[in-house]
Amino acid sequence: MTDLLEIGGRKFNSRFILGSGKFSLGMTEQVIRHGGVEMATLAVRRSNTAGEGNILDHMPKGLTLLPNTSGARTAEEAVRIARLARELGCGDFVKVEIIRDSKYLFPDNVQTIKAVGMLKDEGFIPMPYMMPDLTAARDMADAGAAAIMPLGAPIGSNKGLLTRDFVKILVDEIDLPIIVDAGIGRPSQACEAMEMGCAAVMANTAIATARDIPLMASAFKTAIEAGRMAYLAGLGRVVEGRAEASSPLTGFLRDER
Amino acid sequence: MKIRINGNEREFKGSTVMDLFEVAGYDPKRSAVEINGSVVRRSDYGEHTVNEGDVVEIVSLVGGG
Repeated sequence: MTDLLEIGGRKFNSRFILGSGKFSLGMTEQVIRHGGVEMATLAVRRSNTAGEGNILDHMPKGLTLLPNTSGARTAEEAVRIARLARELGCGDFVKVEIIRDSKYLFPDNVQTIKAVGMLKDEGFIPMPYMMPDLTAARDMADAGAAAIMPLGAPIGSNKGLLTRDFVKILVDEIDLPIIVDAGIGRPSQACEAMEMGCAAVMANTAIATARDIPLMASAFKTAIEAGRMAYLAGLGRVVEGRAEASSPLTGFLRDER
Repeated sequence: MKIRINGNEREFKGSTVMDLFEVAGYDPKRSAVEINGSVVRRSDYGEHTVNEGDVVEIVSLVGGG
């Protein structure tokens, strides 16, 4: 079965987008391999002096790099970071992340909509990280977003798909890939997001804080694939207030009258 | 001349962006440069001059979600 994820004209077999934070450089490679990851986020930071390893040396060829604009508090700052990321060899994909709240790290949807438009105009493929709000998501789509990345729970919290009902509305109403980003803590939660029709799941902390990191990357890969298959298969219906026998009731022990 | 590199004021004796890399010890292949808020293209490192008072940011990619 060919079931590819398409974003910004590029096709992916994997629906597991990896956040590359909190791993040792050596571990990054293993997580990408075990997770079957084809797209991973990166951040742009002030350089340390030479001699330290660079994460690009630990990312396999062919991996699509998705630089984020973390640290940006305004649309203009996000654009500056995106330009630097492009100069660093990241290509045109950019995860637009604009945050002014330092406690919950919630995204600023208004600034993010503005940044999406500015980035689109400069030839970027913007993927906005956002609070799952339908009206804002429509504005993101109109501004040129290539995908929508609503949060499941606060970044790094591992609390799961707290926003499920609102994410589902985006899945139903927005004609772009919906990728749950942030807060997913367990493979079962990633699977649930996929079952409800999300196009992909992004995870980072759930894997980075697991006891066995490569094994958890494999667990996420499997869960995301299972959820996708379940979505394509179409979930069975729910019966309320009664049972419905799965075995035929016509018995031989007594005659039914 | 005095310039600001990644938040620190420094005395700089070179003239181009390429000199910056040599003086400051950053790897040009893994870095990008912004001067006064504008990105300097990699192909311009040899010609782009640094001026007194410039605010220089030298950045690279790190792990991040």
